[in-house]
Amino acid sequence: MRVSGTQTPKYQADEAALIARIRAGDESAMLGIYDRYSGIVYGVALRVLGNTAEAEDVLQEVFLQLWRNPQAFNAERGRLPAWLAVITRNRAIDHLRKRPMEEDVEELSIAVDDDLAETASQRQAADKVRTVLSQLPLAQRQALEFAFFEGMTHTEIAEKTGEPLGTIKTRIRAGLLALRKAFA
Amino acid sequence: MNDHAQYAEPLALYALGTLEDGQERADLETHLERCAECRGELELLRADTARLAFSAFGPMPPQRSRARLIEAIQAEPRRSAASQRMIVGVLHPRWLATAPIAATLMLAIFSLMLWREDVKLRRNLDRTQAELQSQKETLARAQAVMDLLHAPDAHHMILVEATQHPQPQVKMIYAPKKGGLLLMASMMETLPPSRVYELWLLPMGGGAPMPCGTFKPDTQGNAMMQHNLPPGTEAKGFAVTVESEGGAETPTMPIKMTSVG
Repeated sequence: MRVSGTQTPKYQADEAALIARIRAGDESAMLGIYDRYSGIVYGVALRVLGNTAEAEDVLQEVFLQLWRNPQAFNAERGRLPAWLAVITRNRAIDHLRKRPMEEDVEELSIAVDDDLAETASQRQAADKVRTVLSQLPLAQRQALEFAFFEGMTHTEIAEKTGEPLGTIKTRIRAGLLALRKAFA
Repeated sequence: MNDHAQYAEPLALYALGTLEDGQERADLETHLERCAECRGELELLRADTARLAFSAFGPMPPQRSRARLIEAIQAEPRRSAASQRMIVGVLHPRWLATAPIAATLMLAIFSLMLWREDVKLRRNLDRTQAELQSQKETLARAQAVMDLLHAPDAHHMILVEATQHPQPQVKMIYAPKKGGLLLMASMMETLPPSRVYELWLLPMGGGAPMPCGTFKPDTQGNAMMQHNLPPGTEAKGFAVTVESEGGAETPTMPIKMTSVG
């Protein structure tokens, strides 16, 4: 994985073209995106919710919102799979916390520049992240996963683990930076 | 980020969406508005969180989810044609250069076809309107006759020779092919409440009389009845009897009136 560069990679242009076709109402383009990235979306939703039926609901919501508002994703500001992964996680956390759903998907800038169009490359990236996580100290990995997959605030994590607030904050940031370093 | 060290950890929590509401968050958001460097770091941190999300990749959604999505997007309102036109323009500029000529030619041919179709339709319309007008006039005449016959103040009179006493009279019009029958009676004898007159058709080939409906005269002895028989029923003659309310299947003697000739 690389951080965004100056040249436009082929998959970035490809994603922009798919989004343009979705904007024009091309259902086959929408299904093309679904076929590529439903594994990431479903995997994240299932990991957060731990329930297949709810994960399927979130999967539907995410893709339907993309169909309704494709311009929420800006191909110049990040990669589609990364963007889908983050908004899926946010929606799944909303489900988990029984928070009201936003009508629209978020317009997030995510500086990932990875080619994850193929299932094989997605699996490869997933394996790499798991390896990095397994190499983190247990307390650091747990703090990161509590925050991301369970949507817990640092206060809640501190209460749960009995660690000081400052320690939790430091662990979370350090865990994220470790991931960045591994993919640099 | 050295100048922004105080925001480093809150920024990581903010990227994860887990920074609690409060002063710390408010300060960070204010800082982000004016600090491009921290906004850049926020994008990188979000990329890190996205990578974290990829660790969940593995289980695939069931096939029904795809079908469900197809169903859902097909139920959505269609995209505007404007956006589709815009995209076609971008993708096919050369083709579009000759499009106006082709479109004009097509339009001319199409207009000629439409004109011919229009002339044909107008002729058909004129003919249909003439037929309709004729039917309206026929219907109006029939309606005028019916209105006169049913008018509550209508006087039904039969003129006879001055030396003759007026007699009960039944006038009938019967069209065997259609089976239509119209009866107009006058100066009929008034009947008790439970009794009615019944008309009978005497078949041409013999056989039992066929009931053709009942009628009851008003206080002045007038009555009118319309009845339909099976088409093609030929009649040798007609007869009238007095029957119980509701009519009978066979005539009760005596016959009160019978057709002449």
